[in-house]
Amino acid sequence: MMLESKNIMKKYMMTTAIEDISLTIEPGMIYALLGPNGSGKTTFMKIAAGLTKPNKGVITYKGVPVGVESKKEIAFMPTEPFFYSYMNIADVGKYYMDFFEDFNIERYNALIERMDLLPKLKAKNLSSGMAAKLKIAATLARDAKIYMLDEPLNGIDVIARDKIITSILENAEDDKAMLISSHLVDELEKIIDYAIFIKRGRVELVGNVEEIREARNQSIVEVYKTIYA
Amino acid sequence: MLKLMKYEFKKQALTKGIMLALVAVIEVVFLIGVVVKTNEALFSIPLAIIMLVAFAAVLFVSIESVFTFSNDLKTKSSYMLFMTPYSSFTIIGAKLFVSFITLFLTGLAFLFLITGNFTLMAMRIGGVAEVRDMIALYLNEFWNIHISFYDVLRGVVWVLINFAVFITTAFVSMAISATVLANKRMKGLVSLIIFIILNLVFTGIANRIIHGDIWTSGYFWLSCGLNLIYLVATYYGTGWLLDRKISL
Amino acid sequence: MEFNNTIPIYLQVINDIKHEIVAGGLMLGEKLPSGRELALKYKINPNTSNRIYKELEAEQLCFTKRGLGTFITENKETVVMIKKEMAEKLLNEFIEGMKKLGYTSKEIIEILQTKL
Repeated sequence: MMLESKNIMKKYMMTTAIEDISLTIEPGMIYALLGPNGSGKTTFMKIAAGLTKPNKGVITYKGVPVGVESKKEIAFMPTEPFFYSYMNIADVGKYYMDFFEDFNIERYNALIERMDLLPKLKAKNLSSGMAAKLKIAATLARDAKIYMLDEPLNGIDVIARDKIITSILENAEDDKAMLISSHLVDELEKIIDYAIFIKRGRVELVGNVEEIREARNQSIVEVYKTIYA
Repeated sequence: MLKLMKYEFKKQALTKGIMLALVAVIEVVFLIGVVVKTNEALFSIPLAIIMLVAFAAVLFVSIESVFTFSNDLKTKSSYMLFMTPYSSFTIIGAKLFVSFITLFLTGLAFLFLITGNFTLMAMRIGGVAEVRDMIALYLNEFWNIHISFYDVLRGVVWVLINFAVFITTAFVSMAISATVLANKRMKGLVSLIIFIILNLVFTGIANRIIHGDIWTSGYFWLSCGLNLIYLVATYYGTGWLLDRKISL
Repeated sequence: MEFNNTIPIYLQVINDIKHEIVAGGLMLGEKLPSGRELALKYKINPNTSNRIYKELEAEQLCFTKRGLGTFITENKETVVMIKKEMAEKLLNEFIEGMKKLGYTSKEIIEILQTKL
């Protein structure tokens, strides 16, 4: 397997963000990471991205604990806007090009255009919707092996959501894995292979969505409701 | 690492620009004062201001890396920096190098500017000798400094080492506050307190080892040695903390 | 295309494709989009679209020519059979639905005669 999480535990001063998460991510699959706010989804992604260190447990990429090397092949997109305020959209492209060998500037420019963004716009002047699109463009323009997108559809209007879903699907390959967390479960239903439900810092269920539909005649939204109700 | 340095410079470009604009304005006033035959005050005051500004600017501009680091840890642009495939040691190293280069370039630039200004002033007043005497008098009377090459060397080394130690201590203080003491509120205050404590502890230790004035030759280089050890320790401490304990 | 998320997606797409074949939107022997293109067209998971083609091939509705792509069958009989199968399914559903409402077979026939 590509990415393996072994008994990850993470707590902050007051709260435990993750009690115990163990799971594996296989190449060629698209996973939805589901759960309410505070269930540990974002924390998990940050640990896998090497941006946060767990208290216990380890996440390995190709058998090696995540770190400097895995950052070269794992592309993480945080929920919040994070580009330097002095940058414009073209600058963001140059930054990614400077630091990530797998970054494809042509794909970046194509995605920027598809999202109706202009290169000269300053990152700090973007509306929340445009900032969200910019983040996705920069992340998907990388030819990474694993993409972790934290709430990629948040703040995006209905029309643009379609464009983003298309962009995500364009990046899907047999040797790549995608991990997408979202509140908008029904938007993701059609494109995912597996749904990972996180509840109170633990993995509650990992299900193949088509099998769930076949066996239970339920949509993922319905499963979600039964788990978290 | 060069790329990290490039962006460190870019992050600090705005403040440099503002400072440049400010100095340019004062310099223009000075130039007018030197060229136009009027009151001496029109060029002597700007010159004095420039020298003061130079002192302050060199200081500020060089520790800007500390402010940038604070931003890097506190705001969401921390993702920007730490998602890059570099170890924390490399990231901190790049910041240190940028600080040194900035200090060097700014110091040099102001040196040339002031020297140039003094030369112009000399031409205006009517004699380099007069100006040199004036400077020597100024330094002698106000600062009691008798310049020798060795003194200059030690002065430069002292400035560089203390400068580097200041920055790495600030870095490690902020790293401690951000990682081990991961509190959201009053991060700045906590960092400052840690910074002061670390300084006191180090000074205390240094004073135990060195009994006497560090400007007395033997002690000076010993003091430098201690500072160097401290520098390495704080640099390594910062890198280690960020690598092991970071939680963005 | 609007999907019902409680039923397997691949079945719905297969149904859609069958419709197009029978109704003439897709011609016999016509080239079908690649797995990836199909995924993008319907905005579905790429593995699902691979499964769709596998199923269609198993039903002999399409075949793959190495290096050239996937093509709809050229066998008219197969299409006729599909048409019959789909009609059968619709009819069964209709009859079952009407019976549930309480209509008798005779009444159903009468209604149909007036309708058509």
